[in-house]
Amino acid sequence: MVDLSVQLGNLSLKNPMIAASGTFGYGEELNDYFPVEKLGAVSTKGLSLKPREGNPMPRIVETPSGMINAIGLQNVGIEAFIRDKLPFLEKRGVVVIANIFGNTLDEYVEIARMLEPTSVQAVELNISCPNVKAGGMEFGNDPKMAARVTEAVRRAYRRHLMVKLSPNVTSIVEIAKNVEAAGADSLSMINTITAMAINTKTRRPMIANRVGGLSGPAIRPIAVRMVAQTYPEVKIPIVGIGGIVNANDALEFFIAGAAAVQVGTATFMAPDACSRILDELEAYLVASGIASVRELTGTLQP
Amino acid sequence: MKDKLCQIAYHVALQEGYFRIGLETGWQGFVPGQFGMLEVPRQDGVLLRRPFSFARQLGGTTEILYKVVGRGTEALSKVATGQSLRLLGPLGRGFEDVATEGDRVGVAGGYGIAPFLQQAKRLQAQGRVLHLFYGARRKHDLLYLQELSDLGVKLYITTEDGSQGERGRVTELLAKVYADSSPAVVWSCGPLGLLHAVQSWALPRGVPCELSVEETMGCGTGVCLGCVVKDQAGRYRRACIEGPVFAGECLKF
Repeated sequence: MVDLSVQLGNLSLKNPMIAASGTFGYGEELNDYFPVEKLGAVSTKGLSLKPREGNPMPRIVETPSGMINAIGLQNVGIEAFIRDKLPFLEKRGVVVIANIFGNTLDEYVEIARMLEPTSVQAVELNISCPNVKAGGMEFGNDPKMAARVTEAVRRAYRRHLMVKLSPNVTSIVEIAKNVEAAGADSLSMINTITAMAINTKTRRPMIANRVGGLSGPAIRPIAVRMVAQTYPEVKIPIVGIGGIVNANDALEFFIAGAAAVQVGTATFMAPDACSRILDELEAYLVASGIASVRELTGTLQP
Repeated sequence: MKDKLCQIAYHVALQEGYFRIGLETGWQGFVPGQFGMLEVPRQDGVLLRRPFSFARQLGGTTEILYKVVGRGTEALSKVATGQSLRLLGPLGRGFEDVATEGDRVGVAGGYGIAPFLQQAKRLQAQGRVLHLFYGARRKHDLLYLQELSDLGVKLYITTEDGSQGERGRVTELLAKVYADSSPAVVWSCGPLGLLHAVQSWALPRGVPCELSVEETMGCGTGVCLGCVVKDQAGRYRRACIEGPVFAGECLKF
């Protein structure tokens, strides 16, 4: 038996596999493919104060070893989430990370306040969505703004506060340090990379929003580099995200410094991807005689 | 719905880049209009599965019709009989029949023909006939004509260049044939322009219609939100879950 459990500050997870926001709905959609409670945690679709319809079509396009999306945070809104979606995850005993998004600093705070009395165990601040006009990346791009929104939510929310970092910055390490100083309990990185694809016949962008966020294996080396750069500079745990489609990909993130991982685009390729990668990871630990997944974190050799 | 590794029973190249592929699903059947997400070899940077409408069930084998249009279908076309691919399905909402008497009409555009093979089979088993209006760009884009006629389908064919059937748009022929009477139901599958034309013809006449959309899809399972279509209330609905077949009055073009 190997120990898969991890500790992200005050948040205990039975294993390091987290379904990434925006790729796993509200947790119930893929329950036919594997029991969702098998996961360490589920990060919900990005939640806003009011429901959002999202961007016009086309919203996604496949690019080499990746995809660009500009969904525009289509979601049911925080009230409907707590009322209609959360009970399913609650009943199944799933650790829920609510990914939240505000147009303004006050909206972030208000959403976090609404989640405090629920069974949601953590909030993941989405300060880095490239696909919405107000808020979002404006907070994630600027170290001071990133710190301000983290600090404001920190004051209003006592449970685990994860901040999802944007890679679309000059220095992700600087943002990470600012967010840590402002009271974040953990960092999840990276969000999608701003990208564009053009249809050369029509000479128009391939997605209606013109630009979107690139995800999938195409971004993995960038994400691994950012985790490896950030790990020595912060004390709070890092959750690695970016194009993980098998256990070996996850290992790269652990070695670079991640304490847990999120799997996103792989779930589009196969609905049971998170479950399969977790099984592969466990098999790797057994085969390698590694007692705990925690032993892997930050073991990058010079 | 299940994600299953399916052996390829046959893979046949038709004319002009069209292919038929038979997958050993072991299914009893599917509802015409339902689809599957088929894994394609991950060469050339291909990442996602591709959505395909099912054409027919032959014993335990499920047939898909496709045309090579990009990297994914190009990679798929190279897969040999005997190899296996993962298939997720059957997914989504298919065509529903109505309780009223009268003609059952299909309107297909291009490879929107796929679901009508199984639909014709279903109707034939009930002693009914499918009246199928089938429009394509050219003669070479018309598929399954023999199979459809074997299933007793009454075919009305149009091509844009007049190389087979009547020249012009398939919805114009539909309007001509049903100028003085109304069918019991119209089912349509094809490009958005065709679906819009069918909706504009059917709804004012009080003819129930169902429209199957062909959207780009990321996941097929309702989580990526990349395949949405707008309904009359201006809200987005997922083609993979709430569709791909929608009630005619539901969609806004």
